[in-house]
Parts: sequence; C-alpha cells; structure tokens
Amino acid sequence: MFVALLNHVRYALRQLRKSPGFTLTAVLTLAIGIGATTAIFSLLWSVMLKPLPVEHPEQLYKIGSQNKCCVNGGMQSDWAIFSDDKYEYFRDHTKGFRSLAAFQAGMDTFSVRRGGAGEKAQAADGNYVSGNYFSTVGTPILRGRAFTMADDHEGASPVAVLSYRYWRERFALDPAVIGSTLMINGRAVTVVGVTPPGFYGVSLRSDPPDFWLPLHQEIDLTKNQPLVSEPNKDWLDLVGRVAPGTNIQQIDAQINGELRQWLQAHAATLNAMTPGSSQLIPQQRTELAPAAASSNMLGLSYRKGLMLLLWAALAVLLIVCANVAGLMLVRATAHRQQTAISVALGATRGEVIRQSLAFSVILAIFGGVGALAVSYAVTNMMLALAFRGSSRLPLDAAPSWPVLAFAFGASLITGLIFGAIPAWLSSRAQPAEALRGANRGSSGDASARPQQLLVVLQAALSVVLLCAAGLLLRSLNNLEHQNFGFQTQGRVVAQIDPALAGVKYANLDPFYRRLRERLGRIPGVTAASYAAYTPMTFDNSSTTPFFPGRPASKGGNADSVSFTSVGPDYFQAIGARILRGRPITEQDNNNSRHVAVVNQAFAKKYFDGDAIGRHFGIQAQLNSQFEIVGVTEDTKYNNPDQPAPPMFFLAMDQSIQVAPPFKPEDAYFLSYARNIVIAFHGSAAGKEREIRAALTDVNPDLAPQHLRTFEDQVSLNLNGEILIARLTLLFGLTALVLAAIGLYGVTSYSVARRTGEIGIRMALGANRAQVLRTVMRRAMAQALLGLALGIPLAWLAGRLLAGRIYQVSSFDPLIVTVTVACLAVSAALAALLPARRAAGVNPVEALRNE
Amino acid sequence: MIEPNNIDLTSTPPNTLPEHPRIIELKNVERSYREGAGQTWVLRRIDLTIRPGDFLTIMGPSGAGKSSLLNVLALLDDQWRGEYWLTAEPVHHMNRKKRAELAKRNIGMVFQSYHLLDDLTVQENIDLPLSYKNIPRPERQALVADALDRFNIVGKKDLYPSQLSGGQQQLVGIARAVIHRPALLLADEPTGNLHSTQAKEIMELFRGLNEQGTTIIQVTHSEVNAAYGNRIVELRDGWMVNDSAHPETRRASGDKS
Repeated sequence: MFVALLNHVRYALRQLRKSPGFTLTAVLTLAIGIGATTAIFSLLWSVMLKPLPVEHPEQLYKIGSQNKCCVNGGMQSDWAIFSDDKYEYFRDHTKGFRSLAAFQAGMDTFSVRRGGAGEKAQAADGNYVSGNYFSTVGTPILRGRAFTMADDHEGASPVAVLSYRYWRERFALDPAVIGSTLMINGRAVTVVGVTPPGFYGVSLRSDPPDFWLPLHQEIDLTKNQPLVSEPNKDWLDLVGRVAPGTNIQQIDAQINGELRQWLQAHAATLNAMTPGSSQLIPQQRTELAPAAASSNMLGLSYRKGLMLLLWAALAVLLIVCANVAGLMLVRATAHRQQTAISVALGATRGEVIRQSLAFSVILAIFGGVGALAVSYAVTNMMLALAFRGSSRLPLDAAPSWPVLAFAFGASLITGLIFGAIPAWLSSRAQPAEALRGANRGSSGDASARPQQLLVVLQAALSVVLLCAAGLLLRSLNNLEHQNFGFQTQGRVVAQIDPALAGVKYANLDPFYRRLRERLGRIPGVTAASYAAYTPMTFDNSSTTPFFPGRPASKGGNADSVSFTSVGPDYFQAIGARILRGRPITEQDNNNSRHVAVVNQAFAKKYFDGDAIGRHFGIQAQLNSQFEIVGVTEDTKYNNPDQPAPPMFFLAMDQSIQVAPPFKPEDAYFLSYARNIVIAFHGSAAGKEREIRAALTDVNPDLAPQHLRTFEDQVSLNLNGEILIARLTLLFGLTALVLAAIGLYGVTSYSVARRTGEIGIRMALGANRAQVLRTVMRRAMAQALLGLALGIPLAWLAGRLLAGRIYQVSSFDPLIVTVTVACLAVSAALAALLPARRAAGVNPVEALRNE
Repeated sequence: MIEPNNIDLTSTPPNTLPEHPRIIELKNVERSYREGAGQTWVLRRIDLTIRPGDFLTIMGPSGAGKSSLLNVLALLDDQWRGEYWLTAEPVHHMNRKKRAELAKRNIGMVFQSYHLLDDLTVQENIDLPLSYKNIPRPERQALVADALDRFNIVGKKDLYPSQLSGGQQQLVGIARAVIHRPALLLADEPTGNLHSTQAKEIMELFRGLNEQGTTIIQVTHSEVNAAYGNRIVELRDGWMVNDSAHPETRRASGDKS
C-alpha cells in the first residue's frame, strides 16, 4: 500500500516536472485561491479563535456578555462594567470563583519618563487592574514579579508592570528598568515586572496597554476625580477563574442576586442621581460569559466582516478549483491514450483514480506552499487596512501553526475537489476506443462539456462576487460622501491632553485663550477651537436630560443623549451650520448664564423643533440649568451608518453646577479639551509642523497624540467597511480574471478539438468571419449561462448583505449592469484569441488531420 | 441500404454557367511545402483544362499529389503558384475572400470520410452550406426539404450521423455537396470507406448528376470508379503523367526537367 502510494507520488512528480507550463499555471492559480482563504483564516484565527494568552483560558469567565466602555453611571439593564465597590462585593461574596479580578474597561493616557534621567516625558497607555489580576488570569511574569493584593490599596507604594512590547520599544529591553523608577503623571512608580511577549491582557483590542497599574493607585495618578472611590461609577471589567467542572449557571444566578442586593442597598443614592431608578432594580441583570469571546473587542468589531470575507474567499477557492479542474480535464484528454494503455495493461479503475488524485493532491500541496506567500501578503494588507491608526496592534501576519495546518488542509481538500472530476472521467476510459483514436470524428465539443459547466460555475460565482463588491463599494462611497453635518475639507483634528501637560483646572481659562490666539496666528487658519471630543474620534459621553415641568426620566438607553462641551468658534471650526439662534461664543463664560446649543434631533425630540429659549439640565435637581441659545444641524459623531442621535453642546468655558450626590470635581472632565480642531483656507495638508510648533509655544508639554486631517479621521471610522469593500473587490476581480482564463482555456481546447469540424465548415463555404462568430457565440453562451445562474445568486447575496450596506438597494440595476458588462467584455476578450485562431484554421491541414 | 435508383435527379439542374468552353483552366500550377531547409514539391507544372460537363478522374499512387490538386481546385489551398481560371475568372489574382466567395458559388465537396458534423442532424448537415449564404430561412428550409426528398432520406432527417450506415452518411454528404446546386462537384475518394455495393450506388448517383450537367472531378484509386467518368488524369510524384483526353501529355515520372 505504502509502496504503491510512493509510486503514485513519484509518478505524479515526474509528470509535473515534464509539463512545467501546466504545473506553473496550476500552482499559481491554486496559490491565489488557497492564499486568499488562508489569509482570511489567519485573521479570523488571530482575532476570534486564538485562545487568550493565559493558562487554561477556558476557565476564565467575564461578568457581562457585552463589551462596554468606559465609565457609566446609573442603571445598565444588561450589566457589563462595574464599580470597585461592586467588584469587592462580588469578590467577597461569590463562592463559585477561585478568584475574581478587575481591570479597567477603557484605558488612560499617562505622561511617562524615566526617573532621574532628565528625559522628556512621553505619552503611554496604562490599564488599572486589581492586585490579583495577573494571578487570576494566569500569566507568568517574564521578569520581576506580578502585583499582589498588598500593592492594591490606598497608600501602597506605587508599582507598575510593563508589557514586553513597551519594554522593548521604549526601553530597548534594558534589564535595569525592572526595579527602577518611572515618573508616571509626575509620581514615582517602581517597575516591578514585565509580562511575557504576546500577552495583551484579557481584552483583545487594537491598542493594548503599555503597562498595568494597581486599581487603588488611580487615586494618586488620575487627573480627574478618582473612579476607584466612587461606588456608583462603573468602569471595571470583572473576570473570574473557575475550577474545572464548576456549575456556571449556579454562579450566574448567584452574581445576579448579588447585583440586585447591592443595588437595593444603594437605592437611595441611585434615586438621588436619577429619580425613580430604584424601581428598575428587579429588571437589572448580568450574564456570565466565557472571557475569550466576551472581552474580545476586535472580535466583536470584525466578526461579521471576517465571516463575509471568508465566504468571498471560499467562492474564490471554488473558482480556483473549477479552473484547475478545467486544466486537469484538458490534461486528462491529452493523456487519454496513456491512461487507456494503463487500463489495457491491467490497471484497475481504483488505481487510475488514485493516480489521478495523487497528481492533483500533490499539485494542490505545491499550490499551498505558494499560498503561504500570498496569504502573508494579503494578511499584511488586511492588517494595514483594518487597523489603520493603530500603533501597537497585537496581531501579525506571520503564519502560525494553526494557519499552516489550515493551508495544508485547504490544499488537500482543494486537490481532492478539483481532482475528482478528471479522476472519475479517467477511470471511465474505454481503452479500445482510445487506442483506435476515437476522436477522429468531427464531433463538436461534447467532450468539453464538463469544462463548459465549470466555466459557467466560475462565471456565476464571479458575478456574485462582483455584484457584492459593487454593493459594498457603493455603500462605502455613500458612507464617505454622505452629509455628516460637518465639513471634512481643509480641517485638522488633534488629540491633546492639557492635564498631562500639567495645566491645572484653575488655569484652564488663560490656557484656552492662549491656545486659540496662537492657533489663530497660523497662516491660513479661518477658525480654531477645542472640545471635549469632536466628530468621529471614537469618543462619546452621554447622559439623561431633565426638563422643568416634565416628569423626571428613569434613565436607560432610550432617554440617553450624547453631549460634548465646546469652545468658542467650535461650529465654524468643524463646519457645522447653526440653523437657528447662535453658536457658543467667548461671551459664554463663568460670568454669564449657562447656555447650550442642541442639534435638530434634540430640538425635535424634546421641543417639537421649537427649542430656542427653552431650558434643560443633566440632574433632576438642576433641570433648568442650561438655556438653549442655538440649534445646529444634525452632525454625526459616531456610527457613520446611523442617523445622528439627539445631542447637546455645552460651553467649555462655563463650569457647570452639580447637586449631591455629585461633587463639583465630578464635572471637571467637561472642562478639559481632548481635541482641538482647526479650519484652513484651502487644503490642510502640510500644516502639521506649524500646528505642533504652535502647541509647543502654548505649552512645551502639549504634544498632540494624534494629528490628522478631518478626512483621515473620518476614514478611520470606516476601516472595516474599506477592508471589506476592497477585499471583496479584489476577490471579485480575481474571480473574473480566473473565470476569463477558464473560458479562454475551454474555448482554446474546444477550438483545438474542433479543428476538423472548422475545416469542414470552411470547405463547405463558411468564411473566416462566420467561423469567428460561431466560436464567439459558443463562448458567450457559457458567459450568458453564468450570468443566468449568477444574477439570482447575486440577488440572494445582496439580500444577505442588506444589513451591511448603506443607502444602496440590495439589488442595484446599475451594479448588475456594470457586472454584466465586465463579464461580457472579459468573456469576449478571453474567447477572441482562440476564435481568431479558429478563423485562421487552414482547411486543407484540418481535413488532412481528420 | 441506399436506393440510388429511386433518387430523382431530374429536378436538380446545376447552376447555369455562362457558355465557357472551359470551366477550369490550370497553367503551370505548382505546389510545394517547406521542410526544414529544403522544399518538397507535391505538384509540378500542372496544365489542365476541364470543360463543363466533364466527369474527370484523377488517379495515381499514394503521395502522387491527387488530393493536393483537388484542394487547389476546391480553392481550399491558396499556397500554390501558377494560373488558375475558374469559370473564366482568374483565381490567381483574387484575394482569399474573393476565392472563398467564388468557391461558395460554384463548388461542392464530397469527402472520403463524409465529414458530417456529429452534433448536427441529417437535415442540419445538409443545410450547412446554405447557412453560409444569405438565403432566407424559409427558402433554405424548402431547399433542404427538396434535397431530402430527392435523395430519399426524408425518414432520416432527424437522425444523427452516428445513427446512419457509411453509405447513408455519404449519401447525406453528397446531398450536402449539391444542395446549393454547384456547377462543379469535387469528390475525394468518395467510396474509399464503403462496401463495394454501396460504392457502386454512389457512383451511379454521380453519373446521374453528371448527366444532369454537373461537372465532376473525383480522386480515386479504383479503376471501376474511374470507368464512370469520361476522362482520366494520372499523377505521379506531383507531375501530370497522363491525360486520357490528351494522349500527348504522357510524361515519364522521372522526367522532371
């Protein structure tokens, strides 16, 4: 058996060596198909399937199946983030967990410099975690030690654990860093350890933390009010380790009970924050979910897109199989006599099939090796497209063992699929006929029928892919060129952190004045302003509005509206129109009444459009704090594919009033700008240096963390859509080219087989144009059949895509027309060459060969 | 079994040609193939005149150039040198397209291996030459129906060639060759693949067509078949060594000066 297999392999290798043209074409085609599929799998593996980089990841469970960020107050309905107080309550009362740890759902940016080195501070992202975090998630520490519970209490000496990547990139793997002091936000923090390479925490995100800090150090290190001491501020993800065989439902029930007990115990405070919220306590719940899936932010963002791309890649692979099967059929026909001789000499049908399959599987494995290169290139391209703007992505394109195994498996299956038809046909060889030269007749192309069917299949699949790509591209175009409610041209947005630069709350007014004045002096600037956040910067604050004379809202998502605080000239700087009233101006400061501008959706929802002069507040006790002075057009701040939700804008230069249980400091964050936006005459390109210089003039430590044109910033919000549209187009075009090659192959084959017939036709009076037309007609008939099959499939695919496309009908006649034209032109080009060859047949030669 | 005696050929006069004393005139026609650095001659200095109504047989051993001459006469080959007048038209001055048009009007071809198209029915095979002319479909259908009727193969019209005997296939081949009523019928070993009885019947058919005025040129090895014609031309190594109409044409095969 083994010897026979070895012989099959040896013979197959010899055959491949003897026909280098065939081998090269088939291997390259296979490399494209298997490579595309492997690339998608590679990303799918990294983003969704790869186990967490911890010990026994299957024992880790997160409280809350959703992924929420970053700070929440009040009820959540479906709870996913929690306060430190709730965490301690669960930790101390839940019996089912071996241990329960907490980590910050979002991340904070810190200024970091090496203690005593006299170097300039640099920004880095840190994540607060509980003292038992590393022991709970189960990661060994590469150097030094992990945190202990002793590190995590108020007054403990500050310590940090660095990520391996940060240690390598910032400190060049200097071992002296461990045990040394870093100045983090101006405080001395001792580095006690470094995590192993590849550890990014429990939550897979595009920019994982540079270092981790114990929860209670937040009290000393934060620029704002410490969250750790706020029982009603929810900002922590909770992850617990269970013993094998633990009854998860039991812990789930226990956790839900504890959540409601805690809320009941704090009902008075909750009611003070949002009147009537205690009535919602019985409906509050959470869910225990496997940590790998529920804390995977990348997986949640890209799951549907990757699955879509996987289908597209599989369609390409199927086309490749059809294509190579076509090549194999041509080859099988050419080798028919050899097969016949084998059968005449005693080869069984099984042996013929095995030989043919060995040939195709070996061919596919060669294709699989080539596919690794294609996969690496495509994965790199996908990472670059999908995660534009990420500086420390915890994914890379290098193939891992599972990816290699996938490529090998895909090659094997591909070989069996495309080898099956030729193998079956070979096994049906009639030795007597083949040895007699049965193809002497002037038969048409009945023998090419399996190939024709394969071409029809390829054409149909390429129609589906091209139509899908067309829908996704039109959708992307609609998303990019929609009316966002602001202008993207000639504008720059930068992320800043005045607190990190040492600007105290009391000094914010002169700081902002200086900032505007200095930015305004950059040549070409028409407006410069600042805001807590600007559109499309992946930031959002929301609250529940209260209105005088109306019953207080009970909170919840339906009553939640987004808001931001903005400086003077803000609307002009982002290019949003004020439809009624006036914008926020310099006069809106602490010496004047509190004002707000609202968007149309807000005005319509709460005031039937007539909002000017009306009042609202963000606490029940202060429900008329803000007077609406202007209505701006609806501007999209998040979700480019969703209509703008109700939103209001406060004056950043006005300190807002707060009522208990909140303290004035709780609202300080509203006064710190995280973005500046600058509008220019004409293009904003090349202004980066001048903006950086101006910011350094205002404050030498005010280096922007990101500085982008508004167009780029908007485009970053469409990373997923761009990735999917471009890759689907790439796959669609690949499919079209492969289908055209397939049609070329089958037409060439058919012309070669029908040379005699063509000679007869010419002898009977057919001229060259008529022969050309005959061949073209047959080729185009296959393309037409492909269209007939592909268009209904494309309609179906469009229906499946309906949820992903923006303002495009799932069956767009224009896209279908363009696709039909693309296929028709490709088919015509593919058939023209063999058709011209047919028209050039010398009838004398043809008849002589007959 | 075909039944040529029942075939009514009286209603199939060939296309009327202007009164030319010659339907074909070849002057010094030569044909050669390049082979590596050298050249192989298959036709040498052929001078041949054929009158309308002739039934000419080309004979000679294998490799003598019979089929090559037939291909030149059929205008299938255009790589020859010399002068060729067909119905007084100078083929040697025509481009490929004009030659094809001329052939389409005047020539019908019958092949040794019939060369019917396997994918087409009898009826469709017969229609094939008409489909390359600008003849309206109803007229074509009428012509085909007429041919089926004349050749007594109406009952076979929907059959495929593989369902017919060799003789029946050749009958269809002849019907196809004369459907457009050519003045000149060229046949390359028309009975080469047939049983002697069937061969006789086919030859009777040719005779009938010739009597109706169709000029026939056949290539054959068979003396019996040659006897159906009124003139024999013999080729040897590309040279025309004998013409029964011009006994003075005798030339020794070795005389290639």
